[in-house]
Amino acid sequence: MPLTSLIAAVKADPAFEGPLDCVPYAKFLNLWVRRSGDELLAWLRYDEMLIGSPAPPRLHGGVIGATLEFAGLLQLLWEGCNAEDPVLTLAKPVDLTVEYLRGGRPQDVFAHAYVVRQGRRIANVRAMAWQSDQNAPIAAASLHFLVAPSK
Amino acid sequence: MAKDPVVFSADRFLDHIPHVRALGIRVAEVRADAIVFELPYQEGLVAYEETGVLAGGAIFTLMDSACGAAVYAARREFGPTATLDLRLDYLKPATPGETVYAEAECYKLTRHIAFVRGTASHGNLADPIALSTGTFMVSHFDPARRG
Repeated sequence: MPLTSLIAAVKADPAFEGPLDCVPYAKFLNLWVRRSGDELLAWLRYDEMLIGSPAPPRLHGGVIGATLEFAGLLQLLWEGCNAEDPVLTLAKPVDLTVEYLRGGRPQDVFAHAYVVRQGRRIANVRAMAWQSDQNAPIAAASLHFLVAPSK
Repeated sequence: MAKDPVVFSADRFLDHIPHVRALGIRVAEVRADAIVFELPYQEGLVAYEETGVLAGGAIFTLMDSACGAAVYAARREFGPTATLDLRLDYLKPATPGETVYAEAECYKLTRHIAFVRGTASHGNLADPIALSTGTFMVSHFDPARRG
């Protein structure tokens, strides 16, 4: 389903879980969206093809970065999107800085994001990723998104 | 044209990395000062079907891979390396249908840390798609070997 309908579905269902399959790259990664209380999570479901370092098996840092970026994008949509306001669906990443805190084990990854400041054109976002224990984050990110339409 | 033997062996190394293989990333060039990876265009890696532009995450992964490889190239060994951080600036969208090249250079290697920068482009470094800066921790470094 399109991003805006997906966000509407997440808002309607407090136990929503579903694939982000309108974004081909997210579909390739098998990235899902999960609602957890008032939060929206990006959920990267483990698959052997996500491994970036074989011995011992560790997730590729790139897929952790991508999950953090999706968490940021989803959070912007979650906070700002409604049917009359399609502007945020055009949120474009400007830059992404990922700090790696622990190796990603061969397990699912969850990420959530926080909008530090939503300006007229730029949104400053922080994101955090973890696996089985939310208190043991595997990566943290700082992102800027351009949220104005680029005409 | 036959592949350069260094490129060939680096490519063989990439074959053992499942996610790099899944994306179709290959080694394009190995030079004394830099390593170049290539990501052929795939419709399955785009952000929005309407535009056909490659997703930022795919470029990020390409750059992370190339930057990590640049550390290996600088160390001249496959010792353990951990990414501390990686920043990517998205300068312009990749052109649909075109291969993306990631050129990465380890410009400073100390006993514990490797500093790396990289450029993603369609082949013209003066017209980049993205720039990256990363720091990596290098472990199991034996200072005796450096004299």
